[in-house]
Amino acid sequence: MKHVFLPETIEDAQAWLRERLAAQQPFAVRGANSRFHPQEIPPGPPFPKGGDEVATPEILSTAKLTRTNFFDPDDMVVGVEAGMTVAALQALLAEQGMVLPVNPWFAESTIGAAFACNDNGPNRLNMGGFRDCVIGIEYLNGNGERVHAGGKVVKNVSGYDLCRMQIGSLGGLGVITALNFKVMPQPVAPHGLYGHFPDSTWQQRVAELHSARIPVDWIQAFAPAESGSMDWLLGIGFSGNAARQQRIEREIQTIYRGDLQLVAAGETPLGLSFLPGTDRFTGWVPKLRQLWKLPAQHLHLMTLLTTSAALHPTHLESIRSEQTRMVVHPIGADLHCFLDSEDATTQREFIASLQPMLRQMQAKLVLGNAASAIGYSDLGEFAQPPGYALVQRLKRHLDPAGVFHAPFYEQPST
Amino acid sequence: MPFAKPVRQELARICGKEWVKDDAITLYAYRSDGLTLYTAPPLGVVYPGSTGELVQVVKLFHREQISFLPRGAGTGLSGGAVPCEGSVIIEMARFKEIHEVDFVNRTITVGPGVVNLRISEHVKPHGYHFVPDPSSQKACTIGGNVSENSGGPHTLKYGVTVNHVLGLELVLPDGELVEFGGKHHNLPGPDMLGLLIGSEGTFGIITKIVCRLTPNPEKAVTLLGVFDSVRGACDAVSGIIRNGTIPAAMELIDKTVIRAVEATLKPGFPQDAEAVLIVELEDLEDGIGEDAELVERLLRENGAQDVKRAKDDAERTRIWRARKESFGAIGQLSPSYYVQDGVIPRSKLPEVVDQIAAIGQKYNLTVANVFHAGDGNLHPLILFDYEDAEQVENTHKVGEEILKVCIGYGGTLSGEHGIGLEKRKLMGELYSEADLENMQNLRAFFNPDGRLNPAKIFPTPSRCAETKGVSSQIPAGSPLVGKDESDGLDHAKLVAHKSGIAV
Repeated sequence: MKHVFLPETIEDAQAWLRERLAAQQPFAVRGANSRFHPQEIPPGPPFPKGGDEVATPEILSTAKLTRTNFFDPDDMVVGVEAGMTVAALQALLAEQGMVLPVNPWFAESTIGAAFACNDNGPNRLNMGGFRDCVIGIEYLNGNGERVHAGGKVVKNVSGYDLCRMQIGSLGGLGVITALNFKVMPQPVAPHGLYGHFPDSTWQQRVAELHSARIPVDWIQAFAPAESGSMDWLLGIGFSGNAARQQRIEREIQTIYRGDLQLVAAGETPLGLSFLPGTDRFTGWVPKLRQLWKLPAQHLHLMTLLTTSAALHPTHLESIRSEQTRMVVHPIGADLHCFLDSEDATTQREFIASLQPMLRQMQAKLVLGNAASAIGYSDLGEFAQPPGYALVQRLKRHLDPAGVFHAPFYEQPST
Repeated sequence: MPFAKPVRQELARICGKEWVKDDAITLYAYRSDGLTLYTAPPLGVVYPGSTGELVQVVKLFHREQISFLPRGAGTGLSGGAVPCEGSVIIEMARFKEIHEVDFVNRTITVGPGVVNLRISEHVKPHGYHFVPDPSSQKACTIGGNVSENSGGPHTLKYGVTVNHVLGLELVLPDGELVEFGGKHHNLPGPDMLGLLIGSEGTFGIITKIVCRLTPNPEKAVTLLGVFDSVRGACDAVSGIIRNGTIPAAMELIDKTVIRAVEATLKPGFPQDAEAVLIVELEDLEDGIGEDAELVERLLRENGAQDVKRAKDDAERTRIWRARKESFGAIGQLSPSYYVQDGVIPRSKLPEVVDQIAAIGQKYNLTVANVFHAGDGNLHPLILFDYEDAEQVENTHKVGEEILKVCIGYGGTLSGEHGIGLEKRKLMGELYSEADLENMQNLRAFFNPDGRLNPAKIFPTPSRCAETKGVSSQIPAGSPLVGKDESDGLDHAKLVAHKSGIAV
């Protein structure tokens, strides 16, 4: 058995990394252990003390690197160590009426992990993602050096953009120890319109809305909205001053023929709290898992799509089944499929059944959760982005000792 | 020295004889980009007409160990397209095809030689535009924008080029053709697009770009705040942003530039003002009036003596034309100017603009200001006479001191022009040795032999000519030296007048 190391300082992390480099001993980088990683330890409670016994490989957790390096409200920039939780960072910003406009999956995730997993959600198209707000980074590289890139300013083309290179890098290109972001004012008076639909005809109206170029903040649909039923619940969020909101509401209601109801985001009317409210900035996945009472090793597949594929009238219906729960962010776009089964064989069969449609949609897959036996080999070509072979070569170049254990980079190139 | 005969023959076979040039005038024309302080003649210039031709050309150079670099419209302002070490320029002007427009996915797929403004013009009838709008957008190409991660006035609200590109196809220095991204907004794995965009043509040569399209705003309101000090205008910038309002653009113009643009473009700026602040709001028509009233109030509360509102599109266009062509208008006041591109935290603007003025005074040079105030992206314009060697020397010193002030305030060397040749020696002031080595390790991955656009970004020695102080000299080794120079042109002035920027 191996152990979890929780350094309290970046210097301690660097010293530990150098020991692993000297011994050529691979290890995995983790935050607070909130995320699923294929064929590794299952997610669970954070590593409270360090020294916990885990399966191979060793783990370096950044969860105790929680300092605020700077927060300049006048410049709307913040810099924190990578182990600060998403909830803590957003709370810090909220004190000044600001927000990091990204959609992490879990409030207890560290900001470093959310960044390294490139978490996103309802706001991706209209408010951006990590690529749109990262301005600086510090990480430990494959030579054990502590390196910096970017800085504290909102515009910067001085040298290569190593900040963005680490987005979605899944711990394979270094140990992220600190991040700097530009932040935004919180949305003004956010509201949402929602409505039930017996089938995916809502897509056609979303397509009309998209075509009409109405500046909404987010769109999310999911099904089944209520246990046992097969209906969709669609939510559309917007914000701004009263005149702006009235106009947007009018435009949307015209398209939906007045079928939608207005709620104030963040309120909990009629059990609709799983519509993305302000929690979209802190962690939007748990309420859905709770709603559907999903078991610990349920399957959660994030399918990355083009907007045109997400709005295609037949794609979603063809995937839908009684066992499947779905969440769609149709503009951007992504489709999350949840399967209420912990059985690896059932999960594999489900993934295989999706493949013809995924190929047709030119979709890619990310595993959000699964049975412990499920891994990248079950996703095949769908886990590999364009240029994957070069990405693998880059990993080998930046990690010549092969100490950053990250199975994403070890798939057979298709 | 022109192409060796076998190389020329092979290039002619690949691209056609008329697309391979190494005559003296061509080499002279390609010796610099928009920053003419740095020059070096290329070995030759090749104009491939397709990705297939480009791949063959790159493989040839790789095999023959010839260094090379891509070039768009040559409007760059950091010497990034100067052909150091006898490199061949691969001119990408023929890659100007608009491949596909997809309004559902809000993308347009284009060749790198497409002019920036052409993209927005192409989709304007459908209600969309491409956001990054550098001042050179009438001439600069999208390939150059991607290489430099260009910005522009409207990036305050919407972001820079990296925020508006979803996919790239590029040829690596050994001729391998690779693709990243696509029409998806997200894909598994590291953000390779983020790494490639802004790599200044040192990782690969871009052949295709998937750009995001953004809906045109239903309404734009342009306000002009009039101030009796630059410092006051800078204070207003922070006041507006701190209030939680993010305008589409906030641009500051000082009195020197006001005088220049009023002499040429006549936008109607008050000539007794010390500075004007252009603030533009974009949104739905409903509600924008309320936001505009708020901004107007904030401008007045922060010291604006007057606030004017563009009453129609014609007036708005006049204001923006004056802003975007202000660099050129400086020609009314000075034979040459040198533009800097440092960035500082926005809240430090008042202190830093005072320091910039003091640096100019120290060297007895006028420093004008026109910059992206909302981003803290400064563009001090150092006015000088290129015939005066001492002024040229002092211009370099002023530029360097300004950038060091930016770094001292927690800022950076460049917000949108890139490092190129110009600022590479200051990279050591910004980054530690380990940071720089880490970046160079990335270059070693993509560009292991260093033959793609050598001598850029990092403070390493190069054989490029730096024409400091002796601007009229043709560099030693220039193909013009020892050849027919009886064209009657004063070459130094030709460069100065053509570029309108600096010698």
